[in-house]
Amino acid sequence: MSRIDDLLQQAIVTGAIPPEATEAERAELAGLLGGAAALRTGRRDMEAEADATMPIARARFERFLAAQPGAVASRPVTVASRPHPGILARVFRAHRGLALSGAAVAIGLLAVVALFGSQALLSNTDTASAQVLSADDYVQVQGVVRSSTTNGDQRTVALDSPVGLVQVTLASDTSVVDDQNAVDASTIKPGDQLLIGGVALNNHAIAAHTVAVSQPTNAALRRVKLKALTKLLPNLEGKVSLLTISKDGSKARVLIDAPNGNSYIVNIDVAAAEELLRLSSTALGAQVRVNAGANVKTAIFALALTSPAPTSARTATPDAPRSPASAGAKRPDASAAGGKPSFVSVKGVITGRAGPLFQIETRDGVLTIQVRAETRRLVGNSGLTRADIGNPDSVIGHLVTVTGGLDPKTGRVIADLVVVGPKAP
Amino acid sequence: MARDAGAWSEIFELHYRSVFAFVRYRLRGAEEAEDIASQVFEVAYSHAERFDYRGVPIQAWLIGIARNLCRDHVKKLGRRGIDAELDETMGPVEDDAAVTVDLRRDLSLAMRRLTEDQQEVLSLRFLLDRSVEETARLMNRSEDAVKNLQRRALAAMQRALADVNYPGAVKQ
Repeated sequence: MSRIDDLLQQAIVTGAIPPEATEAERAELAGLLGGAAALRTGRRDMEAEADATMPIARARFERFLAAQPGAVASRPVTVASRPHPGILARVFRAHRGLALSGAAVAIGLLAVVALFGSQALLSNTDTASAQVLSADDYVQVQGVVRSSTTNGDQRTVALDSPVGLVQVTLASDTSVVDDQNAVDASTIKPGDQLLIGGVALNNHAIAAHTVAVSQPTNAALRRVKLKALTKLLPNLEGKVSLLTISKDGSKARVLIDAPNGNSYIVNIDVAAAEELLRLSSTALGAQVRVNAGANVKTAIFALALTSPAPTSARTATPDAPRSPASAGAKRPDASAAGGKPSFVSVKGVITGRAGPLFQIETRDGVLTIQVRAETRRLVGNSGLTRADIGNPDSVIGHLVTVTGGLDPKTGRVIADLVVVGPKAP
Repeated sequence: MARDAGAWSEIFELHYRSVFAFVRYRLRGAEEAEDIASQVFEVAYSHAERFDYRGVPIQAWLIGIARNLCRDHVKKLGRRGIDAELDETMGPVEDDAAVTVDLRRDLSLAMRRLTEDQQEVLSLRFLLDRSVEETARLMNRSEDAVKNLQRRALAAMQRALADVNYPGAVKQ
């Protein structure tokens, strides 16, 4: 091995030019380390690009697996209309010969069927959900019911959403509300508009925590091409059609429908998501502009609100006197929400806690809300850290915005999202 | 195991970032890298019966596929006479992102001026953070040969970056 190779390796490992290097060697090594430093800087950008493109690649690979011999349909699913093939479909078709070459043998057929059989039923854009939904993310998405089936205590709804047909499961403790009251999940029927708040599962289905139902519609959802935004586009504006927040509250993502017919998957600063949720119980429908923000170099963008979401009227009423555990909830005037479903929203100051129950002093009185293990807590501009809000008592005295539904048994507000604000004056 | 879809999903989750990193700066943009990285897993699945698990890390196998796909892709572009300029279909960026994007573009341009071996050693060492020993195994070379190749690759990168006006590089 040559001496200069050895010196370079030492310099790479230690980050310093070895003292035994001669002046000429030092000059050469300094130049070589400059190239290495540029690569390491580029690596950070490349990692952000890898994260941004991974959902698309994952969806493509899952569709590839589902398309392998043996991935057969086991039951029919109603699909409203055949969507136009998206960019992924075109890319996939372009490499079909490559993808299928040598794939005549299908060992482990049953595993493929079990895991991907249901995916194979979906239309070309239905795996778009896989591009956007990561397991354990909190999700807000709206759509139209295409089918609704029951199996024991669980109801499964096929929801036609901006990311295609998504399977939504409702358990016995899922809060379902209509324009006025908590209602039974069995009342959900094809054609209903639903607003879903829940958690994404491994198979890109959603386990619903809160479902808001509104009147039926025959409107067909616009099919869009999905693009992951990796670089800032000038003057990119559009309507938020989906929001996700990671389990630890550190990452957020929106789907923005742009007037040019594209829909952009945009990773956003959590502060931007918090701002949307402070203004309305749902971020969906808000008109936003995508800006650079502080983290643009890692493909995380800021949002500027140009028009808030239309569904901000639904509020909960305070606890009735002498029955603090049974906070009634007032449903909004449907016309105030433009006929669209909305969640319960509570704003006030946290004044006390007993186990999972928090008392919130609102403008109209004290309200009890229930926080569950699945509730996402965002630190907002509270001055607290994510570690701080792991201790429930740390938020007492803080302003708070709660989004959620109603416990069908108690009528109590159940929190899906809590955005903590600063200490109340 | 060879066709267990769940296992293949796991493989994808574990290795996508590495494969993307390996191909990214050999290609024109993130979308092209995503396309090639996706193909790597499809080809791997299709050829699973050819993979011998004994003593060969699966990442080495995936990187071998990525190497071949990149090579074929670049050849194909050359045959079609497609301009090797970077894909800028996403449009211009605002000022504060310009430095990052310029570096990304410069690295891509510079990397494509290197030989395939030079590209590979830089990708493995500085983008995938592989040790000299691991790189030697992945490239089927001795450790001394990897160190020598690493130096020549960095020198070539330094010259290429200077040619594409990267301000941190010095032309020799």
